[in-house]
Amino acid sequence: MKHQFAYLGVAYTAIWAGIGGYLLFLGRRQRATDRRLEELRERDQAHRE
Amino acid sequence: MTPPTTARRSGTGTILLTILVALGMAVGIVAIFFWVPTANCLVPGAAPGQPCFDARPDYIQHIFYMHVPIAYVAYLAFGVVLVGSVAYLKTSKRRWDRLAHASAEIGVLFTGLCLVTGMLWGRPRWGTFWTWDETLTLTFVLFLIYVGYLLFRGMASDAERGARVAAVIGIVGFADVPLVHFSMVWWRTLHPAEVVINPAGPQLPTSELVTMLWMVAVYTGLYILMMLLRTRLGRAHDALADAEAAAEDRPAPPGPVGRSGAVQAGVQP
Repeated sequence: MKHQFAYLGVAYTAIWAGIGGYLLFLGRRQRATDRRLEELRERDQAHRE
Repeated sequence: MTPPTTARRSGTGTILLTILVALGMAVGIVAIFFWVPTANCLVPGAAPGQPCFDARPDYIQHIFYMHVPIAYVAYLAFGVVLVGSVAYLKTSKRRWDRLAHASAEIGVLFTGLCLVTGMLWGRPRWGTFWTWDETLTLTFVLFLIYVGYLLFRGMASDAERGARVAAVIGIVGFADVPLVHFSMVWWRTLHPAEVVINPAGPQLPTSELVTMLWMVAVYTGLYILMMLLRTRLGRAHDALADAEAAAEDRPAPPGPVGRSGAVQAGVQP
């Protein structure tokens, strides 16, 4: 019985690790893109001035 | 041209959906562990509906309530890839391509999770994690098709052409989805028969069916949430590509600006 729970724990952890990992990865990519966009916007403003 | 600020903060809808998905998942877990039967009936009772003569606790079966909804959501994701790809080829509007690309990425994640949970379920049942059974093999092929779709997009030097070819892969690749599903009906596979979408109606007791459908709804909500986040990222990428193209057209400003700058900043399309 304990063995079954441990096994089930591994399966459920694998699912949530996959989903959570992907959401974290999305967040990281979004922040990097936002940063780069902001950088370009500032350069564009500086260029106009 | 000033680069647009497309990256909006998470709206109320996204936050609300996150809370709903988390609550739905919690309710689903409670139902899985405390409502649906956990006993595996080894020797059936004297008549249908009678208690079993011999039953053993079977918690491994709880993987089923995650595995099946994940598989359905993977089908849904690839269906959205199909719709987005057809619409993109027809209209050439970027938003359809963004939709297809986002859905393919999430579909690959869900197919990967479906394969992993299936293998974990299969080990105690079949004595092996993997066998080249029709359903398993076709699911693995489905995973490879859409991994190929993502790799192709990542490597295409011409974004416009890459999107068009990827759309064709997305359309052709969808042909494997009904094959995966009906392989359980057409062939005598090691994989258990389809018990929810069955020609003879659902083959599950009420508590199991309700829990299963609940989890399908929860995972569909999770898919929508992921799509909202992933398409927002796609919009930001497109805005960045436009801004970088505009920056390249201007006289060289001081400092590292342009496409190489994006690589340095670790931004991948």
